[in-house]
Amino acid sequence: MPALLFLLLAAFFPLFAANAQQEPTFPAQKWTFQGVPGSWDKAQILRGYTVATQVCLACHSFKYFTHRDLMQVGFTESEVKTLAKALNMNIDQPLLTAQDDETAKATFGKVPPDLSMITKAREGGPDYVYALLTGFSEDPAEISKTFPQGMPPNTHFNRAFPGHAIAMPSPLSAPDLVTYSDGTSATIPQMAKDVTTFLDFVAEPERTERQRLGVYVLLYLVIFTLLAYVTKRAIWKDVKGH
Amino acid sequence: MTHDTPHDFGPKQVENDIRNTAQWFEDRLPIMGLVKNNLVTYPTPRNLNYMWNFGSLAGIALVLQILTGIFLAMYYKADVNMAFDSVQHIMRDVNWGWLIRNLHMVGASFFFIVVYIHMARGLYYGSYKSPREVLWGLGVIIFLVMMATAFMGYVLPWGQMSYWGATVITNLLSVIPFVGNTIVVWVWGGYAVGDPTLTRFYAFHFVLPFVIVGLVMLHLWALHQHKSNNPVGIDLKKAADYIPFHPYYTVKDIFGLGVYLIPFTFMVFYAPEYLGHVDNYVPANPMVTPAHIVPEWYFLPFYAILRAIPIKALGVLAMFSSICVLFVLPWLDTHPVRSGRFRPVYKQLFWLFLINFVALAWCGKNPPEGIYVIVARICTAYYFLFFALMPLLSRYEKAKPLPTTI
Amino acid sequence: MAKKPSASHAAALDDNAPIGDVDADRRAFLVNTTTAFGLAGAACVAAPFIKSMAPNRAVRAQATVDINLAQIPLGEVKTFLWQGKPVFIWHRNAEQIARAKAGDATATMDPEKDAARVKKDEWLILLGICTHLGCVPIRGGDFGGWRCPCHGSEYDDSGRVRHGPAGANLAVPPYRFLDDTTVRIG
Repeated sequence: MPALLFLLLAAFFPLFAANAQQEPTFPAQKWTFQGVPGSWDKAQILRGYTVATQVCLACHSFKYFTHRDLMQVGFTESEVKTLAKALNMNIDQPLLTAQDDETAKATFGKVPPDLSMITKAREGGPDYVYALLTGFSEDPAEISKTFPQGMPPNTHFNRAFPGHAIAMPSPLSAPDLVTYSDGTSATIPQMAKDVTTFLDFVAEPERTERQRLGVYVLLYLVIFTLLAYVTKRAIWKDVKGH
Repeated sequence: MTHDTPHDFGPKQVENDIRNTAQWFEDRLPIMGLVKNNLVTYPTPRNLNYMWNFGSLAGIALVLQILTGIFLAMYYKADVNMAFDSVQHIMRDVNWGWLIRNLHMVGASFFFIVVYIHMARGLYYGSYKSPREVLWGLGVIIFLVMMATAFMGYVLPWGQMSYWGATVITNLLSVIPFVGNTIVVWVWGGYAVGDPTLTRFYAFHFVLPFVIVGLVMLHLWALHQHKSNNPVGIDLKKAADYIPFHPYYTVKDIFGLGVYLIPFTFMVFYAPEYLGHVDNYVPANPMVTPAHIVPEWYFLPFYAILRAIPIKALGVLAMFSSICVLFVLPWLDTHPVRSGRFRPVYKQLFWLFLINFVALAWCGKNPPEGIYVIVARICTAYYFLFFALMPLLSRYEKAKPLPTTI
Repeated sequence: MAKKPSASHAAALDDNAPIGDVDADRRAFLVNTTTAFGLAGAACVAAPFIKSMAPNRAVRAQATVDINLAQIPLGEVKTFLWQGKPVFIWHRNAEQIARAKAGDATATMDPEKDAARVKKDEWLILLGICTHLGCVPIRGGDFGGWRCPCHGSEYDDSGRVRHGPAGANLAVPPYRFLDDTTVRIG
């Protein structure tokens, strides 16, 4: 009975992995922050920050990000102060867009959402965000397959966005929108990868420490459980029926 | 003992002093005796299997929730303008805040996993049968209070799911005839879910776990009246059939705890959001309803039952009945044999019931359209049929021959 | 070391299983090891909870405040807020500076030269918290500085303690001059 019951209840979990909707799935990307040895690549975070502040910040806020947070990936206080100063901010101020809600609503039909939590607030996480940023298309053949009457007003076709009609025009519309200080070529996929990494860092800065610590805790528990099991067997040895 | 001789501080005398002091206290508040009788020498059947570990695991899960909850309460702000931010503050700024929050969030799910298995054990082995009806009933009450606590707790982060889940579920009260809408407004403290709702949910979410602690003590007190059931289900009369709780079941429970903590910890560190909803990371917006409002997984089967019946009031009634029917189970099923091991028909119905429960959860997760509606209705029907069949089984099921010893 | 099973559960034990001293020793060793290992783990779990109550991201709390000194007339003291605490800034005139320096010799409770407590003589910047039990002193007292209303401590025009029950001089917070009219505290 016990074994069967466990198996049955374990069946609960895969059920919730199954996606209810016919939503597009996103190809899994390789991220530096994934997995147990995951880490934040300082250079990539800086590149992502560059894209975020020079492209996205025009319309989107990052309210939970302050420049001081960059010190967690290895920047010194003075490096961080320099970056903040370039935006006329101090290192403890939240990164907010200058665009006001009324203008945004008039231009796009809705207020662009805050991006601090975006990789946690969307199904598919970083893979989805990357797919979104690289998923814009102007190909008439592709568009007319989904929207034979043409795109709804004020929307743009995107392969990844649920419903495929997004109010945001392609932000990474061409390569070299920014110039990377480390010389990396700013192709669209590169910029998308970098900014998504930055966004994941903003959403979950504790991620790498969490993944690292987990190993030690699990190792401890495995040893403890084994010890407890052996002790249990020793104590139960002389009970009738065992 | 005269006052002329100085007090000896040798080991024998100190030991004596401690023993005397302990006895002085014990005469006034017999805690040590209570612990000894109920946790140490307490006779427990020697044939319990690992299905009996889940009670202690539930107790530990409760303690963990209370502990992590108190530390979260030091930083959480129950105000519609500050709640979401305060949770982010905990995740980002508070030392180890992310860990405490993840433990609490994943802990809630694991609390339900453990309690569901604990209840399934009760169903399979007939632990609800005489003379344990009140023990079982207390358990159902604990389950209900747990659900209320979890529901209100989920509202606190004030994400989209928090807000809209609260709206949908509190709106159910409107089915109460005549006074329904008045009651809903009273519960809300306003004309929609808002700040008064959030603050009172916080107050209740903080206090109910301590109510659960009290109920658990009653639950254990009832348990100790007739001692534990056992996998064979027969009443154990011989002293040889019992072993003291300590050290046998203390060590077995500690081992069980280790096994429990491994998947739990794995999720805390590597998949803390797996059982949650991405929509709850979008701050609550009373103007925009998410495409699919789904409760937390542990409510899904009941959510499915609610939606299976197209008439709102009947759906609400069905949902509440599905839990309340548990109270009357000891009077529905009066078959003389306790354990499902020896009841071939009951056993089949039981396994089907579990599969049915999971299927209901699957329905609850999906939108109420197409196949999900059909399956939800069939499964709801079977859910209640299971209980309806119990009186029939009580009379006609031929059980396998019971052993006389364990 | 062998623990005899009590009479009440001796009956549950298998008569054919050997209960030797080896078993009892092994049991004791295992119980002790598991318990020790478990307690170590419990301590490691307690640590993050205790730490969570400590000031978080202490670095963040080291906020700074920039004060415009032009708003303080010569000879007067004004109070400002820094990190939730009062800061006294005294724009001292020549007479007050001279008095403070004269006090170098007579301030014997917590000896400190005035020059060691200021960067520029005319700007005395102090944390406005009495070193006795934390009340905010008010202007007054017999020594040209402050008097604490709670228990009567008195400070001079360099913020040095001259009359108890306080025993230490008023603290000097970290600060630097950004220019002639602005000072950054913290």
